[in-house]
Amino acid sequence: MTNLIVSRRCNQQCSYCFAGDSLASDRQRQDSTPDYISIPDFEQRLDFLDRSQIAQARFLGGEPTLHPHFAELVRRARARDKTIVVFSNGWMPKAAAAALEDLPASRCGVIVNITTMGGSAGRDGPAPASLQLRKSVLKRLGIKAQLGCNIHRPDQDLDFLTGLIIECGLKRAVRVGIAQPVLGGTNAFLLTKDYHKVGERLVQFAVRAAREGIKIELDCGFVRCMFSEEARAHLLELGADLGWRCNPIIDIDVDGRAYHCFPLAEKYWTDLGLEDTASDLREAFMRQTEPYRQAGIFKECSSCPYKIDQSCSGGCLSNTMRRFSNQPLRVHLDRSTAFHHTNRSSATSQ
Amino acid sequence: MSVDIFVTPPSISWCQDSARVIVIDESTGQAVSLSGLDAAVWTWFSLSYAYQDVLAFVQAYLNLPAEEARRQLNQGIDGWVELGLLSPEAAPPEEDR
Repeated sequence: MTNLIVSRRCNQQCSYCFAGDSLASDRQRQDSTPDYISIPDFEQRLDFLDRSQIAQARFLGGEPTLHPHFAELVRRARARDKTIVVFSNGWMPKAAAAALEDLPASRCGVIVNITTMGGSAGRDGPAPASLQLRKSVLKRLGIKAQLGCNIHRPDQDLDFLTGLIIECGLKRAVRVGIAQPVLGGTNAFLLTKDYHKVGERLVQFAVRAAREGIKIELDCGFVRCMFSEEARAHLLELGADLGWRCNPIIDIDVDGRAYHCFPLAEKYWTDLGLEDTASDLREAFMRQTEPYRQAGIFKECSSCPYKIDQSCSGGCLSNTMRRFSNQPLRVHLDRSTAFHHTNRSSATSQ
Repeated sequence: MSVDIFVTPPSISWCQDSARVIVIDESTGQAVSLSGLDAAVWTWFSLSYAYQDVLAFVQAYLNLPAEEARRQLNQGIDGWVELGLLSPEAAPPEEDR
């Protein structure tokens, strides 16, 4: 799995965004990274996917559909027989929606991340016209669109998603993610102390969603202990896709930098080489991060049997790494008393 | 009085878990898991306790005579130095002395 960042621009400002820090910091540095991938660079990314034997072209941003030649990018990926996967917030230009609308559902999926119907710009209440625009896009995409949601607050409401899925005729599944901290970043994220509460609420949501034939799918960064044994069994009965994983996703930026993932982008990245494959990059990132993977997001993780047998990753590595301190530890080793004591002993024995 | 001062190199970071302390050296990719007395001693030093305080804790922890506690403590610290988790603190520049 590899995500291709085609646009560094976004039309939202979600407080929990994993990419926001990376993109904003580049802007603050005023580097020369362009906002959008060029067509020749995109062809190089497709070469990379071919080399890596990856069948999907996964479009990421920013908001990827803002790319001025988005339809052309899709056309070129389809010319290589790639299945198109787009990660969008749903506020997409009409031309982009049309390009996706024309594709068969078997070769196109759009993950539409929606935290509130109004979007992050609508804190004072969504403008009705904006809501209608978003809904109209979703209706056009229909079964090709799957809603996703990033949980960044323990009391976050998910129930509006089921109504939206039914109203717009979307895929009957919700991809649920946990907002994770960007290493060294400033984004909003779910605190680990709230994980258990979120787990309980998620089970309740899954039960209600299942009544409408809607399943939940867990994204990376979840931990097994968020749910009781009974809750896990119940979720599986409801058809939920459960996973407790954290692996290098490989996000490739517009400028050719390949990241372990967005949350760890500042620390683990490399320039994409012309002969690199996704396996090469994944192995290199795994080697680099391996020492930290002994720990997890909770202090109990390193002793947990599920972590030890690797059936649970222990949560998001970026969250785990925040637990590490690199404050200098100073040790004054005093050897003198032992020396004096020996002298005293010697003196006594004489 | 013979005092050696050691400090963790910049490449070292650590995290306190419920049953261990995990120490990582990014320069080598090495991870060391400290448990039992080692984890306790690391934690005490990380809380800025002085050597004599840590020595007293070790003595109480292991219920040992002072000299044996000192031997074990110093042996442990020397072991960390050998592993590269600690290195001798660089002398300050001449004008700072």
